[in-house]
Amino acid sequence: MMGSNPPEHGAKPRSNRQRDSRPGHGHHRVVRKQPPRPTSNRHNIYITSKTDFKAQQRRCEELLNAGAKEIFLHCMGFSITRGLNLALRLVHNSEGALSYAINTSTIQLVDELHPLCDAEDVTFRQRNNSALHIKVFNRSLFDIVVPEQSQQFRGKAGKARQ
Amino acid sequence: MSNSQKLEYDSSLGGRVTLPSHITTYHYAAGALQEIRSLIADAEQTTQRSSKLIFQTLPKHMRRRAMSHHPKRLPRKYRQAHKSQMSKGGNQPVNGKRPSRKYRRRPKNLMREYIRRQRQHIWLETHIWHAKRFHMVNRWGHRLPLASCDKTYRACYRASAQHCLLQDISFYGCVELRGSLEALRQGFARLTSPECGLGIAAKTFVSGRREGNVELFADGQYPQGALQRVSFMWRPLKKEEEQQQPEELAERTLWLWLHPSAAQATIEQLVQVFQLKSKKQQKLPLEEEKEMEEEDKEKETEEKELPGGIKEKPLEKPLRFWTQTKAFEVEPTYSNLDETLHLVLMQRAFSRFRLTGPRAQGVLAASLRPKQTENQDEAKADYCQAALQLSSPSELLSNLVMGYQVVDPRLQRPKKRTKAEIVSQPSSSPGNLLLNQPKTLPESPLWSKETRQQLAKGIMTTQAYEQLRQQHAVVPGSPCAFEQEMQAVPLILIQRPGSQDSSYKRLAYGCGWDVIVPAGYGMNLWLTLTMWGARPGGLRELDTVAREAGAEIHLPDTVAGVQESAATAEELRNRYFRLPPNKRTNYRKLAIASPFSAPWKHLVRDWSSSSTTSFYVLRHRQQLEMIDECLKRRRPCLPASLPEEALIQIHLRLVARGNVKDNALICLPTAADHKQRWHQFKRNEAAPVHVEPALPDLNERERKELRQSHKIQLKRLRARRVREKRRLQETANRRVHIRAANTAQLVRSQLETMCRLWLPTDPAELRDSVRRQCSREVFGYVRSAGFSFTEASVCAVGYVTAAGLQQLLSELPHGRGGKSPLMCLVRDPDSRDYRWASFQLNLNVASPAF
Repeated sequence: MMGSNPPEHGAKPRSNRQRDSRPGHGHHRVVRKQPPRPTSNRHNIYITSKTDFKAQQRRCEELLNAGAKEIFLHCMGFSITRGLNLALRLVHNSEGALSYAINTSTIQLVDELHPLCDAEDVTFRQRNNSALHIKVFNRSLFDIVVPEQSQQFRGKAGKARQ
Repeated sequence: MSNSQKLEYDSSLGGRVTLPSHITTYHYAAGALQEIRSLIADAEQTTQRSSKLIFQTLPKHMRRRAMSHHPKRLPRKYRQAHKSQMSKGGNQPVNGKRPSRKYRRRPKNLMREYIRRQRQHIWLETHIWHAKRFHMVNRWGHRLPLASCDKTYRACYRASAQHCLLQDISFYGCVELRGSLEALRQGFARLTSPECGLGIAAKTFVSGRREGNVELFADGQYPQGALQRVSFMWRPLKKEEEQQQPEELAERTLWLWLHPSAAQATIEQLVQVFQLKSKKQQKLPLEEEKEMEEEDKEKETEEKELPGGIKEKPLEKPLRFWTQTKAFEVEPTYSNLDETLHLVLMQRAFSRFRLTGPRAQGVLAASLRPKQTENQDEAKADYCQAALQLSSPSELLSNLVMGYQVVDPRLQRPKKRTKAEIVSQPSSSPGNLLLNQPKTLPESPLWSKETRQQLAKGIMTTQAYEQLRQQHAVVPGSPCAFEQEMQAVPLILIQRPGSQDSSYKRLAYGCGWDVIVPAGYGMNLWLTLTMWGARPGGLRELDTVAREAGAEIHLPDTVAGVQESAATAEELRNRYFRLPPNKRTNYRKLAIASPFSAPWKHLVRDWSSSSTTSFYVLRHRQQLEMIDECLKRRRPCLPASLPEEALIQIHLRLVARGNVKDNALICLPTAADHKQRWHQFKRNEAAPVHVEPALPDLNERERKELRQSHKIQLKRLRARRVREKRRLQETANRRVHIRAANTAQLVRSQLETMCRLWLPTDPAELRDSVRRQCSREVFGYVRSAGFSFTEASVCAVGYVTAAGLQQLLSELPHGRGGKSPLMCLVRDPDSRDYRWASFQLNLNVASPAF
């Protein structure tokens, strides 16, 4: 389970609904929209099934090593296992410094159904998808705050470099 | 009343003698012919006479001292001729120094210079801004920014994927069509095909809620004769209009955005299909005279309209016509005979800016503030504001059109260049915004001509604005009272959804907004957008964004595509022959049939049973889906109805090492290659799967001999001339010069033969010269290639033939790699290495994702 390649190899399971949109079956083409993102800063990481697992892991580790107290992994649907894997891997590799907390939620998604003939208009389809929000945080008792370098020191260093 | 009028000469003296109201054309032509003849004779005489210089021909009393040095001593009409004469004779040119920089930079002179320079190539509104920062190129009759002078290739990709890339695409010309829905639908049915996707009068577009895309073909020639892809938008109906008339009869307005490369051809097609006539020259019925004086007046006006031209014909009936010719039309107009359909070319009426990337939201939200006016409804402005606060443009309805009335963009600038932050407090949920838009959302005053003219009049110039600010702003940077009075700017925002197929390209890559700005406000908005952190890009970025999205802007069978590939082929060929011979790639040794351009026609010819000489790109969506299904299921039975001339667009991705350039060959792997692949895969080898054996170049010796003989011949000719000179010198008592060589013709023909011997034989000459040019069968060519940041590997867009695809499927080894993507071989034109590339079909050829 902790291998560098996640176990969820292969294609995503296809739902029956999607098969309906194949030629000859339906009168529309399903177009999925980008799911909404509540916040977008560096501490919120959205897990996709395409991004390289190792790259994501390194990104999280770098964030945590740079002094972030907590990071959030958001994953939805098919990539939930992947997010869980990542969180577990992070915690396992930290040798007890990190811990995690999990929240579940349901996300409402809207798909556009694009018409295939001129006489119809765009219609919509609403569906829900489950999502997971994993907080990975530093649980060390002594919260060491890295002090900012003083102005004087920085000035000297600058001169020395010259 | 008649006394106050100035009478005709003869009507005051000799009674009522009026000028003839018509003149027969042959009489007129005979007169004109005589005039031309005498003019030509005169001109010939003067040229024969002029063995003298101009100032020597002047009569004695008009001659002045040192006239040849000071052209201003000549009468003014001779000065130009004198200058040209003096500069020819090896004398120092009379038109001496370039005027001083100070003189040239005076506003008046600078403006004059700018106008002069715009005559040849049209400038965009943001031209001067771009010219200071970008490499500019002449393309499609415009002077356009190609790429920034800074190194911004990667930065522009990052902007398009994560931030905001800003491009000026105002060179897309807008054409307005007015007419009934039914007439327009019938006309466009001849130019488009329902197989490519939705038509122009599809229900989702007609309401004006969404912008549409349609592929245009020459009248009735589908699938051949592709012109270009056109984006269009309908003017939304107002509520009163909807009730008044049935939908089919009401006059609707349609805007087409045409690419300048094929704009002329498209307009010609439209004129032909809708049977339009230019309004530049039209016959108007003449008002019949009621009084004598009125007639006189009319005659005067006629004379003015047609100085020396054809006058109107008298008819026995009282109805008469006169021809009105407009010397200059701001907006060239065409209409059909019964005046129900009009076509207006709106030249430079708008600027169109393209913002790509998720941060386009933040940039637009920061630089556009809704202006409260009495006739604007609140719901619309609220919706626009809420829509711009979502985290990505792609969360909205795809191709949504929003009319938005904002305050002057100059008022929304930050003091320093800052990154616009996304305010992540959406007032309503994205789903809600997607599902419910206010009815009036797409309406914009920009659609009416009067409003546009008023807007153009009411623009406060930047200078006036700055002066007012100087007077009124007490604290620098604080808002002033007069700024409230500045007119509102109506904009049209068009959403672009980006990639919508997550299996082809990651969702929403290339999403963004197009902003349509009324003329005059382009520069103001542009500066505001860049100040809010949008990264400006040029034409290069249009191509890279398209390539990253796995598609192409101009398909190879469209007018622009053909032009572009011809131009690059010419450029590459010239570059090739500029190189010294030992630096040139010997394409004969590499077994490359056509090194500088992809020979689509010959490729199609070699793969079809008949000898066709035309090709087109397959845009039929259902057929593409069927082929895709076959590819996925590995069924070697493509639909039988596939035409042989069709090319199928694929997206290639190199599996391991290697690079691919444009015009690379796409080849069929053999069974041995498949074996070799697994062999290498096990040993983790990265060597090319197959190396083309070098062919002998049979022309090498011939070239050498030709070169030698040419040199010898030139030497011999020179020796002959030297001998001739010496012989003449013996008898002459003046110094004799050697005769000019006159070998230009000889040298040129030598160059031509040499070029022919260097390059491989033209694929047009021999059948199968493209398909079997090397040790692997070629079934396609790459059109654009490069490293793709979205895929983190080398990717390319290419086209293959259907028959080749069929053969690839039938030769697949059994049992292995059931789920992995299909593979083919790729070889660069200047390399011998074949590499593996996986490929997938692009289904959205007709409606790409960017």
